[in-house]
Amino acid sequence: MTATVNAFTLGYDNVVDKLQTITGLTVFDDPRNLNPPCAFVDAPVIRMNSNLVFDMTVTVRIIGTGPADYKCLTKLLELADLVRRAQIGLTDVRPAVTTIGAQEYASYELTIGAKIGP
Amino acid sequence: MATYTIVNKQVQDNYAVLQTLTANEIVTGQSVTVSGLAGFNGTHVVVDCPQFLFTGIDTAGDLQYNTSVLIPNQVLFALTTDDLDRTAAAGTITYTLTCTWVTIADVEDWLGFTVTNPSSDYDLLTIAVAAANAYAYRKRQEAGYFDASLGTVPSQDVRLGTIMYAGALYRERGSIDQYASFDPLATGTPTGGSMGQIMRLLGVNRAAVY
Repeated sequence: MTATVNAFTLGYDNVVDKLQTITGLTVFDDPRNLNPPCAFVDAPVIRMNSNLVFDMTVTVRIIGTGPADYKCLTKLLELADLVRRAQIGLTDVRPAVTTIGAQEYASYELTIGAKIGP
Repeated sequence: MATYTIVNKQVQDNYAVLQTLTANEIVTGQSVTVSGLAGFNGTHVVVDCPQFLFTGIDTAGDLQYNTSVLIPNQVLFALTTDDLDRTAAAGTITYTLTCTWVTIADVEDWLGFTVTNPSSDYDLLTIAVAAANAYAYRKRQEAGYFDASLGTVPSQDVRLGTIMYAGALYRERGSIDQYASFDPLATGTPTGGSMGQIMRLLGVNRAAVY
């Protein structure tokens, strides 16, 4: 991918597109559309290596429903494993609480790293 | 199930009136079972719960009462038999409610998973479903609704409210005021947090005048 004016957006959209091809995983990139259980692709963190090449770290939140009991945990891990099997640069998986609006959801944060360059 | 002791009986114009010792929750249109009282035993649909002495029916078939004689806790139903003056009696009236508006499968769909059967979790889910069915029927009855069928849910809003309540009861296992959760995932969600929505769906508690 060429690092153009739209490189950041294209990098983010590319990660979303790859996640949306995973069967069994509902992926949202707009918090107003969330419908758990699902994956939500958060705003990316970008570290520039040069004006053309940069590292993009995307946090994908696997969001569950209801209280975080064992059933919820197994569902979260099941969805997280779908991302691992897709082999798209998953580097970290950790439990978390995601707040969307004022609503708190039991979730897992998945860190996906990508190098973007020309 | 509630059982009430009968203390008086009366038959007039093919209508029987039984008085219970204590106040009862029986309402017009519901089925009760009389036992231990020869000639009255069986299941009957309650026609009225009068507060006054029953004196028979008029030519139009309307129930007539002597409003100067106040008698509490009475249950009136049709019974084809000879007239009988009001007299002391012994027996019981049983009022049984087994509501089956929602099923375990409904609640599993709402929870988003199935529960292994047999297991203690399944036993708990069975109890939660029965409790939610009984709660929904009772609360609606208290709010003045008359739901004729215990086997068929009156509407889909009531169905969803009952399912949500059963799901909440199931999830509350081990919880006191908040749902038990894995610590890193804990959201601090209070148990009963959905009660407002559940009660709206059930249509309770609305003001009722009796």
